Amino acid sequence: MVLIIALALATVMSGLVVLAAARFLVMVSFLNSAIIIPAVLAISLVGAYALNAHMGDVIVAVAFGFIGYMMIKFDYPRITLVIALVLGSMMERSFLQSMTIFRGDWTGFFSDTTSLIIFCLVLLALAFPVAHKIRGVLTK
Amino acid sequence: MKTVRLPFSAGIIPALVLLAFAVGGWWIAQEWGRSSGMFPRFLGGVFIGLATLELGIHAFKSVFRKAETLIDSEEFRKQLFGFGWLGLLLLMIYLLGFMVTVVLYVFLFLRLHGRFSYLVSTSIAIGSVAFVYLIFRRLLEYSLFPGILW
Repeated sequence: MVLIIALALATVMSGLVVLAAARFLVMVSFLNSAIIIPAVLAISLVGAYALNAHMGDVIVAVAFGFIGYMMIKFDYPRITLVIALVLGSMMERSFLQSMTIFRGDWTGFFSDTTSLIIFCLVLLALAFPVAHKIRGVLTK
Repeated sequence: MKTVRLPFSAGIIPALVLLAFAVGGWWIAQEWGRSSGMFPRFLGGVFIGLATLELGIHAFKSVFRKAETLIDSEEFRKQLFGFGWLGLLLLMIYLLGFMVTVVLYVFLFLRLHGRFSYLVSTSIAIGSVAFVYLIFRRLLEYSLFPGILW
């Protein structure tokens, strides 16, 4: 309970601080990007390293920076990748739990009405952008 | 403006990379155990299908719609320089460690790329390293990578 109150207070306080400092903070957006780039790059990589004290994390951070830049260039949505990275491990765990419950039988996913509906929705979510893209190519 | 014309849709390049990743991931997952490799193999199959479709769409555009790509040479050169700076940062961190790299890299970038004065470059470099030292070393008490040269 104390933690929740502390979190709520911290949110309110940080909001107030930012509101009070907004007039000065907005000046950051007028700064020349060449000034911000090296400091942000270096400090963000320090942050990437500090988490596990592992140089591999720094390389991964740079690699994902490159991937993100390429995704912008080739017009791929970045948010979906972030969601996949966040939810991927949970999805794998749930998948393995389900397969254990079904004793390795794939058809278990389609035996329940709810899971069947969700499966159909997933298929639709996958098919809709694909169909949209194909239609765009064929009609141009 | 100097441009280079590619006789195909530029989207073929990331589509090929995606397909290579998909096939590579699926191939690696084949060697894993039944339970640990089950999910990667399943997703790898879906990934291969979608990547193939993406490649097919761009191949169709290139062949039947005669899609082309124009690359601005100046823009491309700037991008290569950007990646060069990023590569230099990684190399410096590996060789010199974080503390030296932050001050040196920020100074070099501002002086050589941003063409700022010595005073501005030095001030921001010192400010950056002071920030890293204060937050990461003093307050959070992290030990940062010292570099292999020292």
